[in-house]
Amino acid sequence: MTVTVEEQEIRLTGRCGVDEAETLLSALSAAPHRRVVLDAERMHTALWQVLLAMRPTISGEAPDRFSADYILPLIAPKEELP
Amino acid sequence: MDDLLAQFVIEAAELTQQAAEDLLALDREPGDRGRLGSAFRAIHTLKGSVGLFDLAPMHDTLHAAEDVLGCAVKDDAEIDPARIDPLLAIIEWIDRCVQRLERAGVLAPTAADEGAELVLSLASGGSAPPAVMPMTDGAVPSWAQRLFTAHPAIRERGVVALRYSPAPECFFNGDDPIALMAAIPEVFFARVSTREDWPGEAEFDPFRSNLIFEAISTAKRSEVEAVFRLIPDQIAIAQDPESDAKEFSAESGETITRTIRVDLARIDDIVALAGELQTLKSGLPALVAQAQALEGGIALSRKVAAVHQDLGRLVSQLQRSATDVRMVPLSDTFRRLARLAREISGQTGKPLQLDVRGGEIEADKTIVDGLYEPLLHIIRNAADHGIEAEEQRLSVGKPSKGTISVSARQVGHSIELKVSDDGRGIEPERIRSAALARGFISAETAATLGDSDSLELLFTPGFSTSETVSDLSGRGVGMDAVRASVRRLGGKVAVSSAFAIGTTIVLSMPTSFAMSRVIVVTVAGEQYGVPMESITETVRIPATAIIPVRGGEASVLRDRTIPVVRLGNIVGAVAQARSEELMLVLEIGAAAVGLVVDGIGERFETLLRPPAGLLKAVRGILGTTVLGDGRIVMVLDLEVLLA
Repeated sequence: MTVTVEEQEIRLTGRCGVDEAETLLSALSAAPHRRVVLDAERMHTALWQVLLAMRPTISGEAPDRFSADYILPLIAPKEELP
Repeated sequence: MDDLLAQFVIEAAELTQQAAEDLLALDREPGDRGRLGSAFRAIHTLKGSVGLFDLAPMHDTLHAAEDVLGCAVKDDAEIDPARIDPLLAIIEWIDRCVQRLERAGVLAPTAADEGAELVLSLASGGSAPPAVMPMTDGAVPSWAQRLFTAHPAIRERGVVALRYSPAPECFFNGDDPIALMAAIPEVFFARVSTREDWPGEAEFDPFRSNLIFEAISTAKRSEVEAVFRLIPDQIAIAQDPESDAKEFSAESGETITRTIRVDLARIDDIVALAGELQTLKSGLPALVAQAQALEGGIALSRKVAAVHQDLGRLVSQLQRSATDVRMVPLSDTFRRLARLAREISGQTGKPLQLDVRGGEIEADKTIVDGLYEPLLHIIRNAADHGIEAEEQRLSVGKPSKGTISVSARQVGHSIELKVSDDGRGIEPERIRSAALARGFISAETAATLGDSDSLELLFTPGFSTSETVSDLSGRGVGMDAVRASVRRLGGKVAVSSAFAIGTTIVLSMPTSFAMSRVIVVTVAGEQYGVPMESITETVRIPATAIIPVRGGEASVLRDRTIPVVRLGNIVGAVAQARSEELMLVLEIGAAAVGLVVDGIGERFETLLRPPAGLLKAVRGILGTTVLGDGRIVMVLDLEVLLA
C-alpha cells in the first residue's frame, strides 16, 4: 500500500499510481481533518488533483521540483483562505 | 585560385545543395520547421562566406533570400509557397556563380544585373512583402505573448512558451501531466490553473484531468517538443519572437550536414589510439602462453586466444576506419598545379598545357599535401629543362604548346604518379659527362655506366646539367630534393627519358602510412626507435673486436669487414667503455654497417608518420611513436644518419 490511512494522517509513500486517487479521495472525504504526509517517490496527477480539490493540511515534501514549486503552493488549507 | 576561395567553392557546393534540398522539401511540406531552419542556416552561412570575398552581387542576392527565410523562422510562420520557386532560382544562380568562380576566378560581368532581377522576382513572387507575411497558426498566440511580457528579464536568452491542456480523459491513456511538466528542462516559470472549478466531493471525479499548465522554459524548443511528442494535440509551443532568430535556428537541432570539418589533430589522436590498441593486443599471446603453462589452463588459454583473435579483427577494422578518415583526393593538390603551370608558362615564355588525370584517387592527407612540393619541382624542371622554346619545338615538328601531363593511378596499396613532358628528353651521355666534370663519378665509372644508371645521377645532391641557372629551377633545388621529400612520405621516385621525345618521372607513393615494426634501443639512458626492416642481426662482440680504422672504426664479422658506428656518437651521448659491446648489423643499400648501442628493448608495430613541426627540420628522424606505456620515442632514419 502506498496510500496508508491512519487515524490522524494519510501517508503517501513509494510510487503512487493513478488508481490510488480513489483511496485518497475516500480517506479524505471520510475525515477531512486528516493530515496528508507526502513521502512518495512519485505521485500521479490524479492524486495531486484530489489534494488540490480537497485542500487538506499537508506535510512532507513533493517528489519533484516542479510539483514543489508550482503545485504544492496551490494546496493552501481552506481555513487560511480569505 | 587561392586556397581560401578553393575552400569556399567546396563549402558553397555543399550549402547550395543543402538549401535546394530543404526548399524542395518545404515545397512538399510547408510546415516542416526543421527544413525551414536548415534552409535558413545554409543560406545564412553561405552569405557569411561570400562576405569574405568581393562578391557583392552574390552577397546581396543571398541577403534577400535570407531575409525571406529569416522572417518565416522568426515569426514561426510557413514560407509562402509562391516564394519557393524564386528562392530555388537564386540557389541555382549561386551555384552557377560558384562554378564560374572555380573556373575563372571572377563573376560574370552581368552578375550584378542577374542578381538584382532574382531579388525582384523574389519580392514579387510573394503576395506580400516579408514584413507582413501572413501569420498562420504558428504566430505567437496571446497566452504566449502574456507569458513573454510578464517575464522580460529572461527574454534575452531566447525562451519557449508552452501551454499544455491535458485532455480530461488523458489519465486513461496513461498520461501523467504533472510528470510531463516536471520533465521539461529549464522551466523558468509555470502557472497551473483548472479547466473547471473543482466540484464538490460528491461530483468530484478523480480520474478526470482538470488542470491546465502554462510555462516558460529557457531550454531549446526541440527539447520541450520532445517531452510532448506523443500528445501534440494537447500542447501549444511558441518561440519568443524577440529572441534572435539566428540563435533559434542554430539551436533547433536536426542539423543535416553530410560532412564535418575536424581538426586533423583529433583524427590523429584516434589513429594513434588505434595504434596503441594494436600494441596492447600484441601482449595477449604471452598471456596465452602463461595460461597454457598453468595446471588445467588449456581451456583458459583457448579463451584468451579467441579473445585475441576477435580483438585483432576489431582493432584492425578500427585502424582501417580511422585511417580512412584521413584520406583525401589527390585533386586537393592537383588543383594547385594548374595555376602553377600558368605562372611558369608566363615566366619562361613557353606556352604550356597541363593535363591532369586521376585526381579522384585518394591518399592520406599528409601524403596528398606533401606531394605538392615534389610535383612543383618536377614541373618546374620539366618546363625549364625539358620543354623546348616555341620555335625549336616547331622546327622539330612538335606542337608549339608544350604538354606536361600528371596522371595518377592506383596500383594495389600504392599510387603511381606519372609526370611526363613532351620536351627534349635527357641524354644519358650528357649526364655522364656532367657528372664526371663535377667529380661525382670517376672516368672508369663514366665509361661503364648504363643509360638508366646514368639517369640516376640526376638525383645526386648538387647535380645540374643546365648551363644557365634559371629563376625557376634555380640552384640547389634539384632532383635530389624531390627524392628526399618523396622518401620522407615513404615513396620512391624513378626517371626515364627518351631523347627528343620527353621525360617521365614516376613517383610511387603509399596511400597511407603502414604499420612498421620498430625495436627500441637505448643509448646513454635514452631510448630511440630503429626500424626492424633494416636490422639483419644483433650480435655481442668483445670491445676489442672493434678496431680503429683511419677516422672511424670497423669490425670483422664472419670474414667480412664492416664499418662500425656508435649510436651514442651520432646522438651526442658518449657511452662508457665496456668489455663487451652490443651491435646491430644493418643492411643499408648493398652495404652492411654495425651500430653499437647500450641495449635493446621491446619490439612493436607502430604507425609511422613523417615528423611534423619542429621535428621536421631535424635530420635523421623518420617519425615519432608512442610506446604502450605512453612514452614517446623518436624513430631514427639510419639511412640518413649513417650516410
